[in-house]
Amino acid sequence: MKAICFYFQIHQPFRLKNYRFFDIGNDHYYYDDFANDDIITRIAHRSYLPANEMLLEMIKENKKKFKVAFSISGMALEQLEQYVPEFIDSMKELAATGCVEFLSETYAHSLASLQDPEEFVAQVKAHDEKIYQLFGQRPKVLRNTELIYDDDIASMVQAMGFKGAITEGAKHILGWKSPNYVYKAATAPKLRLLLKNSKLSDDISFRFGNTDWAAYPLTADKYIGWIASLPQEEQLVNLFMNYETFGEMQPRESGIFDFMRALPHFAAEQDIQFWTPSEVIAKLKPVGELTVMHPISWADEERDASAWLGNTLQQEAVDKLYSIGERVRLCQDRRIKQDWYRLQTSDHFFYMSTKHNSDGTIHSLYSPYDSPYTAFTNYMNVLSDFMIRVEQQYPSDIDNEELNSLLLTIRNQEHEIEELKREISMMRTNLDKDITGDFAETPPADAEPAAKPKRKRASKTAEVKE
Amino acid sequence: MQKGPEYFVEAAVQVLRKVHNVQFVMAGGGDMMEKMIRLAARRNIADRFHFAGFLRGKQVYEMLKASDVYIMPSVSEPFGISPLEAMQMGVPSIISKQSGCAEILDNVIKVDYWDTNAIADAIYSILEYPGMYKQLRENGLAEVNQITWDKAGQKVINIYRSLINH
Repeated sequence: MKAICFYFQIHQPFRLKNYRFFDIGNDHYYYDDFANDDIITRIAHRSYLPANEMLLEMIKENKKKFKVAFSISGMALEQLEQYVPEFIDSMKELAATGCVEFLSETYAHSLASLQDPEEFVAQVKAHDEKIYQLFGQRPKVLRNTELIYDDDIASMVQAMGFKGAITEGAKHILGWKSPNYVYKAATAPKLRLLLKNSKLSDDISFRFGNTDWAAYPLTADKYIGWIASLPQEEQLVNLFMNYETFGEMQPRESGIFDFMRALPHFAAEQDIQFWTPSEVIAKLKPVGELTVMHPISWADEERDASAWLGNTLQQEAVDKLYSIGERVRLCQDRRIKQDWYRLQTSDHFFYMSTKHNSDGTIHSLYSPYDSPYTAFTNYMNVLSDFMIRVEQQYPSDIDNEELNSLLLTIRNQEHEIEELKREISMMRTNLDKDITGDFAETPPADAEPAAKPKRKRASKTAEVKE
Repeated sequence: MQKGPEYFVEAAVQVLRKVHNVQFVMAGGGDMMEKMIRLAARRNIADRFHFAGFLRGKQVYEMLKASDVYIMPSVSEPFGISPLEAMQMGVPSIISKQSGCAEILDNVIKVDYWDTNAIADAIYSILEYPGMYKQLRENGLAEVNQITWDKAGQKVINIYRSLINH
């Protein structure tokens, strides 16, 4: 018996508008609403909505034996809620079947896991909250941005209470090992790792409609045959892909939808089941440990983080962005928080990549800019304005620690004033009693605890003032 | 007209509105020079805008050595070898999409010659963001070092050879 684990990724960034340096300090709206609306609406109608319909039918036809998992970034959810609300409804309908698992990730589809651990944790929580609000599920398995993963991330993910993480079956990490097993993380033994089977995933998402490909045309029969002919011990095939695969990367005419519809039938013939990531973790035992010293991802030939952090431009942009992370987390301003998320999306850094090999074409294919240098200039102009706004809220000549304690004082002020007032009134009554001579009657144990906290609190406020 | 000097002056005006600590030098001479001097004066940037006249030999390299950005906003330019000279000196270059060398260079900033906003934006970016300067400088130098007469000569020889073999 074997199992296929499907997981689909949905993500769209908030693309920035053309933002010149003389807009810095004057214009605080950064987004290309027209392009964002246009792109998400087009993709939703060509891909997301028909694919959802297909999955719903497949789940019903196969009596809930067909299962899939989704990872939808907060950025995509925000845009879908705004421009294609019918998609959210259709997703809710899918969620109600009980055959769909939602995965956790960073809300902003950001690189926070590599740059700012505190931000990473905050964003994962924000995302899980959003998923719970919309679909009523608390994610148990995490899929980091673009499948980025290393040992440090593993410890953070385990500490947050996740049972598993999804990442790339990168060849330089696996060596002779196969991605078709469950592994555990070396630094976090309780965390299970599901690895993407790159070959079989890309057969669907990239090669399906390619007429030059030796295996063209790919039929469901043939594809299931490949999976069935894997060695007996290899029980699991993880097929991870972009949801745009259906209808956008592989257009409807290529027959991708019919291919998918036919899969469960042939899978049943070969005794192949469909499991969600949580089911996989519950049913299969890990066969070994994986150590990942340097970050891996699913991008480019190198399968590392160089698509986002490979050159000087990207490093400067990322460093500058996260240099104000602590500051922004102190902010309460809603618009600053919103922009902070939107500016962190990894796509902005992807556009700045200067790789000139075969992958360079992929980078330029998705980029709204004509060169990485324009992408950088535009982003940095926007970031400069954003930093001015954060600066206005909290000037940079106050250091973070001082600011933090000041904010704490302000937040606690009301509470403290109230307590002090109560104390005063208590002391007044005590004093009155003293004058009237009733003091001897009240037990001294009562008066003492009232005086003690006062002394303590006084010293605390003095510290802050220093 | 052909070299697009007025677009350079207009871009300079925009940059100077935001950052004052920049000096612009226009090298070369011709029938447009006087008109440009008057334009710079009318735009009130004459104190920050200098006219160096026609530079020869060593003067070119000295000028490039002292520069942070090189700009060629040509309206039409069959090839334009001067950005290559600038890149060889490690000076980040901004060139117009309408010039011939825009077709072969990657590590330069390409703009439409009439888009003075884009020219100004590129200048500002190179001056203000160290990553931009460093990336253009290093990659530009590496790129221009790949362009040699030996390679061009070899290409011509290969064409002749293939013609003979036909």
